[in-house]
Amino acid sequence: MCLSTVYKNSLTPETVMMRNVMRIECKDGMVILTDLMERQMAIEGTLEMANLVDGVAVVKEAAV
Amino acid sequence: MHIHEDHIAGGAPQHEHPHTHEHTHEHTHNGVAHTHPHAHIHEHDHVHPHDHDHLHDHAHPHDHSHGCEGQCAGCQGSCEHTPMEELMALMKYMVGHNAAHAKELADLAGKLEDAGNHVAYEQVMAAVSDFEKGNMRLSVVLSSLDVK
Repeated sequence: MCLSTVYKNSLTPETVMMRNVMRIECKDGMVILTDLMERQMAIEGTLEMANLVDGVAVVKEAAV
Repeated sequence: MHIHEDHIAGGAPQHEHPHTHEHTHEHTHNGVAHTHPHAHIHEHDHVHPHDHDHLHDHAHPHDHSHGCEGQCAGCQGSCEHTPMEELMALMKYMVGHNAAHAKELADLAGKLEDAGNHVAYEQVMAAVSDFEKGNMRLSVVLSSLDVK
């Protein structure tokens, strides 16, 4: 219900991918993030963790 | 960040080609970091390890200018959302979000009442009232920003 901040690989300030994320879709090996302004960002990988109480999620980037 | 959408790269695994694609670059306006899509036609060479028809994330340098160079002044008119629009969208969301939470708290209070704890019910409902007053104040600020 709350907006989340999504991080790449680890939960550190340097790895913030997107803030105010309202939707996370996992499709065809991609994680697609959409923020409150409907901007989208996609990354190859998987959703590793989502803490809906703290409003944070971590996306694990697929190995190249 | 660089996003390919429905980019079909059949044929040789490594090639050069001109193409148009949309991508985003995070930058800051008045302290608010955001991205917005740009479309460019340009050439670059990189490796496509496989055919794909999905959103694709990769990072590599681009030697071209967006004109704004991360500065708001140079970007005016082309930005999809101004920092104020973003703030207002966030505030609208939060006012609605708070209202939903107030309702959830009122429901919780009702369950306390059903459980026979009238004192707790009254205290939680008082908290709901305070919560709604705070949200009303936010709503008034939002309305005043809407007018400007």
